[in-house]
Amino acid sequence: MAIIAKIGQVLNTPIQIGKTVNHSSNPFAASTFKGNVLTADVFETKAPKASMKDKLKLSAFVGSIGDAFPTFRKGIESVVAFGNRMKEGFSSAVNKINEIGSMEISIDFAGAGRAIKSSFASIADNYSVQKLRKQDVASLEAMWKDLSGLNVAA
Amino acid sequence: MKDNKNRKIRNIIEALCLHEDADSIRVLEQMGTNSSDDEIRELTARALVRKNMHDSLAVTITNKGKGINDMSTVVAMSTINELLALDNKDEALKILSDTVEMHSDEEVRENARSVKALMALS
Repeated sequence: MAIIAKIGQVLNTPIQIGKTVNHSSNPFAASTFKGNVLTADVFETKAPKASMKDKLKLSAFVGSIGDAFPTFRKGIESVVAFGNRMKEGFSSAVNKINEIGSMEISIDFAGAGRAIKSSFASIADNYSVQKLRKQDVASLEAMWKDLSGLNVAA
Repeated sequence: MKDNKNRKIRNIIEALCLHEDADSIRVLEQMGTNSSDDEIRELTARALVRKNMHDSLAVTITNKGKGINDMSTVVAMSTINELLALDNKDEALKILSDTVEMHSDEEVRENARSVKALMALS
């Protein structure tokens, strides 16, 4: 008889996890992790119901969030894009500077002088092939004879 | 001074080579191939070959002491090289064949035969 009374006492005793005692109507409270039991009663709301005016305000707020976020996103994206452009521009500018820095800029005055002298000489030279080609054969023969010292009749 | 004179003569030879007047061949033959200067003879022979005309080629192939028959090896070899470099060798081969068959001088015939063999191989 005493044993039966003991069993009945054990069954009637509420299950305790840790030192927290669950006084809520949440049936899963006993199995909550490490005894951190939800104290709020999720089955029975005690919060006052939102009035129609509050609902309108909340609706407007949600709508404003929907409108505002793309604007923020666009703003953020544009900032990121601007940063990337700046970065690309800067890197390309750095590359250009490096290219310019690696280039050898020199002016060949001696070569230019020779080229100018050569072109002037060819213009002034009556014995250039271009000028000689335009003369008749008799003239060329006479010139050749003059140069060879054979043209004594003149 | 001599270099300047040779440069002028070289340009005259080049101008005669490019001249379309057939009389340019006569001038080149008289003035160039009879020159005592090896360089002038060489330049003249090469110019006559580059003209690639019957009369100009005949001067360098059939005449003893000129072109491929020149006493100077340099002049003869330069003339042969110019013949080998021709794009159209038909006229040169025809003159060489006629020279091999009909020329009176044995040395000229032998030279023509050798050059013809070289041109056939090239």
